[in-house]
Order: sequence, then C-alpha cells, then structure tokens
Amino acid sequence: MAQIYEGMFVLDNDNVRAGWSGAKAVATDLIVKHGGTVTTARHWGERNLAYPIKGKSRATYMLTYYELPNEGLLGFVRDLDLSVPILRYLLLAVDALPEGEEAEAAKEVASDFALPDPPRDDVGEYRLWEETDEDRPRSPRREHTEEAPSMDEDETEEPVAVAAEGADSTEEN
Amino acid sequence: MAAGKKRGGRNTRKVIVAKSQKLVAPADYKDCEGLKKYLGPQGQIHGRSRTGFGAQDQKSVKRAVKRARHLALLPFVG
Repeated sequence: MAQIYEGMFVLDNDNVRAGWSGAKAVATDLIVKHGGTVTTARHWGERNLAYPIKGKSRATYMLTYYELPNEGLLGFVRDLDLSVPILRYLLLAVDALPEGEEAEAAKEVASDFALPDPPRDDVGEYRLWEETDEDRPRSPRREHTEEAPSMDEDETEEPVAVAAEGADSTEEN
Repeated sequence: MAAGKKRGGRNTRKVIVAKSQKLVAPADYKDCEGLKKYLGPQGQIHGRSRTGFGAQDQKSVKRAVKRARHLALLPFVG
C-alpha cells in the first residue's frame, strides 16, 4: 500500500551551485529507486540556517510530494542518512497534495525558469561534493604539519654553515 | 506610601498573544514568521498561559516549532 508523503530536504549548496537539476535528482532518484513516484518537487528557497549543519551556514531547501510503498520506506530513509549532499530531511505522511502545489511545481518545469542569484553576502567557498579529499583546499594546520620536516632540514644545514663561518673566522685570525 | 500599593514582587502581568490578536495557531512548520510570534527572545516556546491557545492548538504550535528547529529554520537556542 502506498502512502503520500511530504518531504523537505536541506541540500548542500556545493551541490546546488553545480546545477539545480542534478541536486534535485539526488533526492528524487532515491524515491524512484525505492519504488516511489514523485508527484512534485520544487525549490523552496536558499536561506541562512539557524545553526550550522555539517559546517554549512547556508543551504537550499527542496519541497517534494511523492508516493512511496511501505516496503520502500526503511531503505529510503537509510539511503537519505548515508547521502552526503542531503544535510537534513523531514518526511511527513499527508492525506493529499495541498492546493496550489502542482501549480508551484509547474513553474519550475517551464523553460524560462531560472534560480534566483545567490545573495551578495554569500562568500562561501563551494566545491563539487564528488571531488576527492586531495582537491580540497588544505587547512592552515595541515600545512603547518607539512612544513615541519622542512624546518628540520634547515636546522641540519645550519651547523654546517656555522662551521664554515667558524672556518672563515679562524683564517682571518 | 499609599495603602494598597505593592512594593516590588513578581510581575504577574500576562500578555496573551493569541487572544489579544485573534490569531489562529499555525500548524505548518513552513510558516516560520508565524511561529516566531510564539517564541521568546532566546527561542523558547511560550506556554499556554501566555499564548492563550487551547490544548490542541498549543500542541500544533509545539509540533510545528520542533519540526522547524530540526530543519534549522528556527534556532534551538538564541
């Protein structure tokens, strides 16, 4: 037996900047994977989070209505927990699709639909979530630990230089 | 000091939000601005004595605020 659900997903902005359709598909593909059908899925706005989630202070919200069979629910929730670009989610069982929701979702399907530009104060460094750890900018602390061996090398070279200076000084005397 | 006047003591004046403004309890977590009326400055939910709601409406406000907090639409503290 299938149930209609309302799903609100908090999506990582790194993924949304790479493309809205791809970010949307992260959640909708999971619904389809577990035997559900997506009725509507739409952008619900990008906003500042009231508290940071996984180090992010801004995120994009997506509102979906979908039908899912009872057998698929546990697997769907497990996949949502494991999904990296979905920061937080809320699933609610509803009786019916709210009025006006289809019309709102249809605006997004229209060819002239474009996401609003990010606010000017949004100065986050965004990266694709698929990138490896090596592509991430390194933190200052990590750079410090890598520089430490080079300092040791300098220390080993210093006594040689001192010895050379010492040799010079003896020659002068 | 005039007789009958109280000095100090606890301020027991209640500001009943919902009854004074004839508000309807927002049952939807997406209505953040509506829910903020029932939160204190530190984000705590006002009690029933302050909001003026009945049991059912107060529960719907509580549920909506807690859902909004989970999605980081409203703060837990502050």
